[in-house]
Parts: sequence; structure tokens; C-alpha cells
Amino acid sequence: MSSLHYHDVGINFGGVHALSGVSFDVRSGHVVGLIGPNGAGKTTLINVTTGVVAPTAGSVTLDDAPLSGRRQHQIARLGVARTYQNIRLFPRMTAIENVVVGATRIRRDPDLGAFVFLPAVRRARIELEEHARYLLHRVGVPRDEWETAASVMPYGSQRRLEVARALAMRPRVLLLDEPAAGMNPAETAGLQALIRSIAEEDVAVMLVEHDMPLVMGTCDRVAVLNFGELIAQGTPAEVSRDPAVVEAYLGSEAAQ
Amino acid sequence: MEWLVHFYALHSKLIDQIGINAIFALSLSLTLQAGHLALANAAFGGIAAYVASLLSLSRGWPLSVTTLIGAAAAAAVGAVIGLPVTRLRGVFLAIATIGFGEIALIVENNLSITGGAEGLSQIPNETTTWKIYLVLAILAFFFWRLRRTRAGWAIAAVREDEYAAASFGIDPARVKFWTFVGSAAIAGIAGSLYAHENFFISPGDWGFSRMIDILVYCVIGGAASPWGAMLGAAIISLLPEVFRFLHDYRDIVNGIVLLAVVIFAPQGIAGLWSRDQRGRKAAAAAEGQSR
Repeated sequence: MSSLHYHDVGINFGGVHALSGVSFDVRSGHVVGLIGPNGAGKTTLINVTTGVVAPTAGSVTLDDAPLSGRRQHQIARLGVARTYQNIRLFPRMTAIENVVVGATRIRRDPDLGAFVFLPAVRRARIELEEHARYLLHRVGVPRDEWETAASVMPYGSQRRLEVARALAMRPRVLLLDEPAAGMNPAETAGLQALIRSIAEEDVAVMLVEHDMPLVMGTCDRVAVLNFGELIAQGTPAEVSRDPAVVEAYLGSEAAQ
Repeated sequence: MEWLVHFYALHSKLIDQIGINAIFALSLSLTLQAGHLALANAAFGGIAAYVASLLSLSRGWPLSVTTLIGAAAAAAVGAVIGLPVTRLRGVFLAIATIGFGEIALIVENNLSITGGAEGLSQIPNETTTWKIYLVLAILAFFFWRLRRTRAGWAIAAVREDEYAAASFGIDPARVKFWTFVGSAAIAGIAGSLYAHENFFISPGDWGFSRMIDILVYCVIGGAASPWGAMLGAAIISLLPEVFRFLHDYRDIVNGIVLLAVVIFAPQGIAGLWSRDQRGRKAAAAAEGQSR
């Protein structure tokens, strides 16, 4: 059981407040949706969480361990996984190899064993690939693409591979940055079931998404960002009734 | 058998050069595998060559000992330079390392212990063909197995996308630093073998033109592949000999071969094979989609 806390997080890019006073929690087993208009600071919040940028105010903690101040790879080793909005796979590696790299955090095979042909290394490799195939199957990458270089996979498969690679880490926290972009309704429905099943494995999931039906159907709670500030949070039903949210999305005239 | 002995007697120098060049190529391939372009391998070879030669000349220690100390010295200098320099990216790292190479040359040209511009001579000729190829075999084994270690996976991931690698728990700074130091050590081994092969060394042996030669071995062979690097070193070292009958025109042929590889096989010679493989996989995937 773990949970991610944002406490009064602010970030200031040379006078521009990309985020200010953002506080909310993502608990394990829950899916929290993070929504807001373009430029509201959603991806910036993911970047703060994963150590790409340091917050200039407030803090992010995972259980009692502070994340802010740590570097990217250190935060990853604590079990914080992410996917990228603008896909960042390892382009010349196959789908399976991408997932194997995703499992770096949980690998325990002796590192120098390969030089002396230790059987444990070979066994670990077989297990890693086995697990990779299971994850690729779970996220729905077609079997005939498993040995394909990531760069030449179809767009939809690349998005799924991003999720499989993140799952390979056995994450405590999973940050999904627009995983449904470019998916058709049937694919989105599959994604919704997948995200729920991930949360059921006691992962704390944060979902950044523009697809409102997906957010409303998947999330236990929703947080709404606008111009870097949290303007509402609550259950999907509460948030969708909130006048501030309607105003942010549709403009003030529509809200009246 | 007699033919073989005769062939070796005629070409032993070339065979040795190919081996040493292949070790230099392997040294550069280590940093290229991690996706960064550091161009100080000739300088590291020079540092180790001077250290090893001075130890041979003053103490009379055997080649194995002087080579190890020389490589350790190159690695130590590599570690000192590497701390600040491996934080740089792309062309900035290339320029910084070229700058370091020039500094090393100036120091070697002006110190009295290195013999200044005249260099060192009467270095014991202890390098033999079997020693070179034993070292090459050990290094080839190292590179072959490295890909199967966790470190090897980390190196490949950093080459592909260092930000994505970091978000899976791999420290790109650490990968870059240690590949830089390892690369310096391997270049040092090559430098020491070169010194004990050639009787004398001078600063000119470790300049920018040598660095470019090493880079060309790797580009021709396939930048990120140790096998390609060795193959590239062998081909480029052989070219001038194969086209010797063209006399003054042979450099033109060298140039044409280089251009042809860069244009028709941008992934290098090793890439011809793997591109074909990936291509087939891509085609199979496309076929699977259309079904």
C-alpha cells in the first residue's frame, strides 16, 4: 500500500507560474484523473513527480519518502513509472527488448555473471522475456509485432508498448500521459479495463487524459488544473457539475 | 605451410597494425555504444604509450606490466576529464574532447621527460603478433558478453533515449562516465602496444588525424557495433595495401570507398546485415497488419 502526495506544489519558470499551490493525493488501488485545458500544467506535474524538473515550492512524497530533490533514475527506482505523451520508446530495440529495459528496477540477476556464463543470467533472461511477452499480451500488442523494432510499429501499438514497459517495472505509482491519444472507441474501452485492472493490483494510478468519457468511466477521483492551479477535485460526478470546471472548459458565458 | 610463413614474414607489420587499430576501434565503439561522441581516444592512447614506454626504458619492466600501468594511467586521466566532460552532449562533448587531445599534445611536445617533439626512441620491441591478437580476443569476448549484462542493457538504453532510460532507473551520467573511462583504458592498451611495436613514439602519433582514423574505422564498420568496429579497422588498414599498384592514385580509391560506404551503408558494414534483418521484421509486421 502506497500513496503519492502533492503538497502545495509550485513551479516557476522565470516568472511564469506553470504550477502553483497544487495539493492532492493518489492512493494505491485508485485511479485519479488529471484533466484541464491545454497548457494547464498536467504534463509539468508528471515531470515534477518524476524528477525531470524540480518544484520551486512545496513537495511531492511517496508514502513518507520525499521525491522532490531526487534525480530521475532515483525516483524511478522507488517505483514511479510513467508513459510519455509524445512516445519515447527505445526505437531500435524490439518490443520485447523495450519491456526488458522497463524491468531494470526489479532485476536481481548477478551483473557480471554473463562474463562467466552463469546459468542464473540465462535463466533470468528467459524469465524477463517470458514476463515481457505476458505484458505485451496484456496490453494488447499483436503477437507478430513482438520482435519488431519499436520505431516501425504502428502508432497504437507504440502507445500500448509504453504501458507494457512501464508495467514491467512493477510500479507502485503509474503516471499515464494521454494513453488514449489516437485510439478508436473500441480500443479506448479496452484501455479502460486495463487501467482498472492495474489499479486493482494496488498501484496508484494517475491518468492525464483529454478523453472525458474515458476519464469519467475510469477514475475514482478527478483533479482539474487550469493555468497551473487546481480549480476542483472530487468524484467524476462532482467535478463535472462544478461551475469552475465548466467555465474553464467552455468559457464564462456558457457557464452562466 | 611454407607459404604461410612466407606470407607472415612479408606482412607481419601490417597484420600487427590491423590488430592494434582494431583495439583502438573497440575503444571508441564503447562510447559510441552509449550514444556519445568522445574524440579523445588517440590522446588516451598517447598518454598510455608515454607512461608504458618510460617504464620500459627506465625500469625494464615487461610489456604486460607496463601496458597495464599505462592503461590505468589513461583511465585515471579519463576519470578526471570525464567527470566534467561527460555532462556535455553531442557536438559539445566532441569539441571538449578534441580540445583535451590538443592539450595533451602540447604537454607531450614541451615536457622534457617525454622527449619533446622528438619523442621517445629505443623502446623495446616487445609487442608481438600473438600478444596483440590475444588482447583483441579478450576484448572481443568482453564486448560479446557485455551485451548480456545489466550494464550492457543500460548502455544500449542510454544510446536509444537517455531520458527514457532515466525514467526506468538507469543513471545516464553514470553510464556515460564509465564508458568514457573504459574507452580510455582500452585506448591506453592499444597505445602501449603501438609504442612497443614501433621502436619510437612522438606527439604526432596521437594527433587529430589518428583520432579521425579511429572514428572512420567505427563509421565504416557500424558505429554502435564492436564487430563492425573491428571489421572497419581491418578494411581501412588494408585498403592502402590492396591498392598499392595504383601508386599515387590510391588515395582516390580510399576516398571513393569511404564515400560509397557512407552513402550506401550509412549504418556501416555491420548495419547491412542487421538492417536487412530489421527490414524483414518490419515487412512481416506490415503484412500482419494488412491481414
